[in-house]
Amino acid sequence: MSSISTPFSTATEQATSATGTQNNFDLNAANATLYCTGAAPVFTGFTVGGAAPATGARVVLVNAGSGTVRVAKEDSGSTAAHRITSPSARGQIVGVNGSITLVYLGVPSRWDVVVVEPGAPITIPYTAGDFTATGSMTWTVDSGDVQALRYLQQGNQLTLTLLIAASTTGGTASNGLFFLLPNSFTVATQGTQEGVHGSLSDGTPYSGAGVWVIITATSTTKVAFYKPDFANIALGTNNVAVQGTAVFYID
Amino acid sequence: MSDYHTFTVVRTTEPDPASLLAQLRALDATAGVQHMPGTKAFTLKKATTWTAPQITAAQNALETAPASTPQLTAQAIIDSWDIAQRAFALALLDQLNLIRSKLSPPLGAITPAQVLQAIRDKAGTL
Repeated sequence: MSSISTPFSTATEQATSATGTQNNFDLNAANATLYCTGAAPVFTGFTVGGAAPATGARVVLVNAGSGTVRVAKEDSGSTAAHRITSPSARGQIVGVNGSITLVYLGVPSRWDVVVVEPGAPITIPYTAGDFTATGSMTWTVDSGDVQALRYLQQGNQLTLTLLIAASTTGGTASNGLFFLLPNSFTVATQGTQEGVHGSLSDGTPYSGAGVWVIITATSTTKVAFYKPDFANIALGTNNVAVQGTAVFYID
Repeated sequence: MSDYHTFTVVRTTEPDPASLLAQLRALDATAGVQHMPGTKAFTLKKATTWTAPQITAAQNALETAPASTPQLTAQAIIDSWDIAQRAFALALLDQLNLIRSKLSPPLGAITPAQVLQAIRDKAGTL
């Protein structure tokens, strides 16, 4: 009996503890469920039984670990016919208990991301340099000021949550605070403000829509926060808070 | 290096943020507050290590700060008026003072500080 199952047979379970970048990762069957327990694997392409996949081959990646699982789009680390295409140029990443379903398309000879369950929100590691401001103003966010910093990605849609309190602004007062998006995510649509709601306090609280502004410059990798009237943010020590959740589109 | 200390309060009302911060900054000019309204946990931050006396004083401030009210919130907003809002009030004051000066006998000018305090006081009564 062939060891390679047909695309429409019962899914074969496969487990991997692979970590890091995985090029031309071999699946045991053309209809596979791959349980990933390793730390943050990034798959750039799949083979089936050591060969190029056939049209209709299917794999469900399940994040059974405690980190993330990611597929990269059109990554040259894998042979062209084994590569992955996806709605987002950044591929797709899922959190704990998330899953990514891919189906192999004969044309264009690529694995296509067809279903995503984002899983648990993914925590963004704290990096001081991710917090900046407009003009000559500085925004200093200490690690202890971060109450939450997390996101979910589902195709081109990113849900970002920031809960920052008791941070500090310095230098010359200006009107905007910036946060660098993770994973080199890039804002796709200029001026997008769908689903934004947050608050900003510089000693005086401001809240509601208009506090979060997805920066309007082309191909930007930051989100921006302004007071609703775009007035300067007061300089202060340990009294600047930025909190909220935004849903917007990435490339 | 900033130091954080988490406090749990027994009070059942939310403290007025501006009053609380003023009390805490009287203890340490760098004090900052992290708090989710509706919870009893407060994380206070300052530039230097918390000492036992400071922790006791901060706990007292958390428990005794005036409760949040619409009036106190309005006063805090008035205290933070930007140029545009102050210009509106003070432009009216200029005209009022002009009228006062034309009276017989003329009345003295009201200062900007006096009128802003009066606005603040009025907010406290509404």
